[in-house]
Amino acid sequence: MKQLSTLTILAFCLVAFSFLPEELFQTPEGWPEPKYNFAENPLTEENILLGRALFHDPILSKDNTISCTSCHSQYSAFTHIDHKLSHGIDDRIGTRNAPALMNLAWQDKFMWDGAIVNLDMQSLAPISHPDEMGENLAHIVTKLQGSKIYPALFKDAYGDTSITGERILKSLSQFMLTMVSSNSKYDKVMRNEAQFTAQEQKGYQLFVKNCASCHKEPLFTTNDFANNGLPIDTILQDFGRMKITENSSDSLLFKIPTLRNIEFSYPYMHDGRFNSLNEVLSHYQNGIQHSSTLSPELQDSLSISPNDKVDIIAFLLTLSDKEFLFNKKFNYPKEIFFPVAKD
Amino acid sequence: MKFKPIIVFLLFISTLTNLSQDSLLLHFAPTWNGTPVKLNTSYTTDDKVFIEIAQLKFYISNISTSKSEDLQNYHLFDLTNTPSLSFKIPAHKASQLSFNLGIDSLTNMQGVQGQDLDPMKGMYWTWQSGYINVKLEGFYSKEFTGEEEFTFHLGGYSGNKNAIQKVELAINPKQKEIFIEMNLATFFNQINVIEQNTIMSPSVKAVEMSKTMAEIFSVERK
Repeated sequence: MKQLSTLTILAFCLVAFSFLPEELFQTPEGWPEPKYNFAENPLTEENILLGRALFHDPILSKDNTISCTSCHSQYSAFTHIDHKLSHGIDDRIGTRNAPALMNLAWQDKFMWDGAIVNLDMQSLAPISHPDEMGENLAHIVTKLQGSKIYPALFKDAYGDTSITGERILKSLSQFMLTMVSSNSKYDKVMRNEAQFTAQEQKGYQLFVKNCASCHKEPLFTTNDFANNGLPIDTILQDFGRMKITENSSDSLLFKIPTLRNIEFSYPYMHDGRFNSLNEVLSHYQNGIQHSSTLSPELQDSLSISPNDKVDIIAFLLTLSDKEFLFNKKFNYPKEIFFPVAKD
Repeated sequence: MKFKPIIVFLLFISTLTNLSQDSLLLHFAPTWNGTPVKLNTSYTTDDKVFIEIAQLKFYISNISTSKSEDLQNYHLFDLTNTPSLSFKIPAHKASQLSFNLGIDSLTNMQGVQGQDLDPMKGMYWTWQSGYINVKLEGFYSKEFTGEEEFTFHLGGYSGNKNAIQKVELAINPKQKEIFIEMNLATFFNQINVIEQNTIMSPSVKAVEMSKTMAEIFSVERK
């Protein structure tokens, strides 16, 4: 009798588990623990959906023309393809390249200079910047309160229709936290689900030898800052992290970006000065400008043959994650903005 | 029915604890030598500089007496909304009151928070992480000169740019209501607004000015 009841419970559990929704956030195997504090902002489907609506909605900008996706569109790994510098309201142009967004749960310093230290607060910067969205949070609250769709979305996410700055920023974080890219060919090779071609394998070995100390696996960044020897742009006069720390040893240091989905996130560097991976590698071969803060890893120029260069690029293309780039759960939520009337 | 005496007993106990847990009512108000400060009103410093306040906001946090601690730890004062900030803290006839002018570094690095700490209150920098501890804006002028703006956004939470200030004040243990005045006349008499009229980012200067700001709080003797 006892055995029978155990079996029944087991069977019940199996059935129950098969109905459990897919986990909203998972740390891919072999990855470090995320840095984001999920306990303070536990993910729910409703809250992620609210964040997704906000992320796609130009209501966050002063004149309701620019949304987060304007400069962070999914098909280009959440950056702005073909745009060297970020674009804002009234056709204003910023001073830096919009970074590709992915795997943000593993970051604790944001922007090219690390000015922001928590994902929740990151959205405030583009929202408030006069050359980006030029809006302020209190005014967004008023606009959302007057909207036809948002009070209900906030109720679904938070249990009541109250709209606050805290809730807006938390929901934007919720959506951005789900942007995890971990299903590239590289990942599949690491999980023994696929194999590199001979060329990709050779490129991978060259990459590990020459690039991986800063673009560290599996995130392809150390999340640190470095001077990679770019000559300073005389018009932009951007000294990077030094602006934040006011420490001369941080002069010309910029955040080391991830290389995941690099195929789609051009143009490259903090000011978008390079259009192709070929140009980027050429910079490391013969464009390095020496200065007192130059990264120790770059003191000697990259010495590779033309064939090696092609092989490294072949490997870098294995970092493209089509499941991420075309995942429907990140799309414009048209069912929210344009609900279809039911018969 | 037999539960009734228990309920009565519990009520009795809770009344007793309430009675023994005295509370202390605190009022914070900016003044000009004792007169409550009003927005867009002209005040004169010792050096005959005319000062007009357009905005004054500041955070009071970690309020505690030598014998108790406040439960809600962050209070935002905003002169646009109210001439004085009032709240109660538990107190047990303490002789000392302390609080921070500003927000501690740990809170600065945390994720987004609500109530008085909600970034929509306009007390969080947008271009970099960190709360603005004190926002003081307005106009100054000397005789025969036009009005100029002053803007002080004091904040910063790390290293030598940590601007938070601890204020300690002696209080009368018998008083149940305490008026804390923030004398802006003292502040403007100490700084030279004609030479230094703009601070808008974390800096050593912001820390120095925050120290001056912390020294203008005092308990009003009634």
